[in-house]
Amino acid sequence: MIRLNGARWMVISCMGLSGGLHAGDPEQASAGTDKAKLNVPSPVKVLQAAVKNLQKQKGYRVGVDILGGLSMTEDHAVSLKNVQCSYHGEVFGPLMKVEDPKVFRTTKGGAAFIDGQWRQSLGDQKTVLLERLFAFPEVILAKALKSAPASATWVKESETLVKADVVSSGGDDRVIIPSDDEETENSDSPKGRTVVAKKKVAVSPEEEFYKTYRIIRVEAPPQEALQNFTEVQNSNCFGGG
Amino acid sequence: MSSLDKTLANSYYEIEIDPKTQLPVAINMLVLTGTRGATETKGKRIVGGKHVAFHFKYRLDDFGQVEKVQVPPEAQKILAKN
Repeated sequence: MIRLNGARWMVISCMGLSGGLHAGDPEQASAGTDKAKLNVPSPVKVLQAAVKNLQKQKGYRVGVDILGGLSMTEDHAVSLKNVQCSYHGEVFGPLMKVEDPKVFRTTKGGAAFIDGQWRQSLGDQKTVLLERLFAFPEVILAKALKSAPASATWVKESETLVKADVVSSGGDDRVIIPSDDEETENSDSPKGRTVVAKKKVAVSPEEEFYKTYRIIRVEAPPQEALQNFTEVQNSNCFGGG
Repeated sequence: MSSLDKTLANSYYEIEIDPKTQLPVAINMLVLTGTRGATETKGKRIVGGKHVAFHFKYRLDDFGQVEKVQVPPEAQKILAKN
């Protein structure tokens, strides 16, 4: 405290002005701030939790679309199709029931109803494609989990690699095979003039993150990639080759 | 396909997680193999040219809503042998 002309003056030291005044790299600062804002969850931990949660479920339905053949492009779109098929099933514990063809199966093999008889599904050409190509989700997830620590990353939906409903003609035009989930053009929803404004709700950083990133990508090691291809080849979908 | 190059194989898994339930609701798998002399690569990754590609798109839903599977006796005998 300083006395000056009878008045008391407080000497206040100015500190902390330096914090916000550094030039720095505005993009880096912005990205760092964005990341901190988004609160990125660990893809490995999220995948581990998802696998555990799935194991707790008594059962679920599963459907698969499969498209395979020759590709000539960077995005791996199929231009010369070898196989295109879909299967649907119900999983209850270790057992899967497939409706068409009629098969009951586990990860060790299955029983298929063919020509009025129950047979080993791997032993019949009508069901070997299903057995080789329609894997149990738990098996795929286990593989992904094993490789996740080395390669798991978050990706946006627009960046997904798999295109099971698109057959490319090789050029820019593509034939899109309609899926059951496609919306129809004639919607039954009424078109009124009144618009109800939605109340803005505060969104947590994690919720904000999941708006953009919901997919975890894992790259398989080379040996496993080859095993996956061998399974495909053993389905006999390449014919005599 | 005798021109397949099995020394060149890539595979990717993409798992979509429902943030509310923390369950996997979609699983995509991509299996790639090269062809001899015609596949473009960056290191060991296939990035174009002629190659084999298999796309698998799984959807999972109705968790906990599936009834216990009833297996016919004849089918059970076959499953037991596996």
